[in-house]
Amino acid sequence: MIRTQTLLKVVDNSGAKLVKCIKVKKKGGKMSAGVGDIVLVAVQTLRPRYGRRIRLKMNKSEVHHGVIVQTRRLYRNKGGIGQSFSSNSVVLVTPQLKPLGTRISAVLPSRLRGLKWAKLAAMAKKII
Amino acid sequence: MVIKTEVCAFSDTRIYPGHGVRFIRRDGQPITLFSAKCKSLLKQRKKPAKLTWTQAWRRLNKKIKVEEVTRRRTRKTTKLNRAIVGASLEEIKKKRSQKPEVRSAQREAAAKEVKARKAANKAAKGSAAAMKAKPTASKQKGGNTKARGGAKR
Repeated sequence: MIRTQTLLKVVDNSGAKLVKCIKVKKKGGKMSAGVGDIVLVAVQTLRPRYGRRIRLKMNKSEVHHGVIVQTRRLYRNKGGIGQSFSSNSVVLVTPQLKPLGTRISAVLPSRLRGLKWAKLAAMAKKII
Repeated sequence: MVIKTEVCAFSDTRIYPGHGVRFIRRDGQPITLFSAKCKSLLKQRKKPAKLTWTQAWRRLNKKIKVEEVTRRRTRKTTKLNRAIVGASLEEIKKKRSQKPEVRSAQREAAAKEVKARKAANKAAKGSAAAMKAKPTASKQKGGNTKARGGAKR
């Protein structure tokens, strides 16, 4: 249930830490996004670099595409146990839908694979 | 057909398919919960051992039989007496049944006997050597004994 103005955690190493959803990219004028949906986000805060000299990929107030990977809302399918996460989080991607980061430091739901995000699932720390 | 069930992390009830919530904690560890009641109490950080309706409380207060995990017994090697070359079973048993003092005494006696025999041998050899080279016998003897000691070690 991600809408505009929702704050989202970034779980990859693209450089952003907290982003805000500014548009849900869904057909039919739907307002809320779930796992696997694409949203437009504005970068709020950056991840600290601890003095390391890394080329900045990311700046504040930039607009990027993102894929929602975890939601706090309970997802329930028939014949299984419902699943919910402790935070709403997102992985940043290019407009061509390639991941901006190189690794994901979070547990991702396995249904991302069925939603054409097998690449993200492969990068994940663990899949549940 | 056996239905695959899971166990609630809070109340230890069995969760059948289509029920329950799997909450994934911040550290990535999934916690399966039976109901919203369990979820709510877990989020309030209540201890299941303090609520009478949970299995944890019942186990603590000995209301249910606790299946103790029996440790597997490790096989112990049993000692068995068998006849060896030069000593039959009866002989070994006889020696075993003897008192340790008696045995040690016997052993000492045997050792003494061997020593005596060796000494006698040595004496015989020494006399033979002395017979061969009379004037420098004392020097040679000393050297000889030292060499022997080294070889023995």
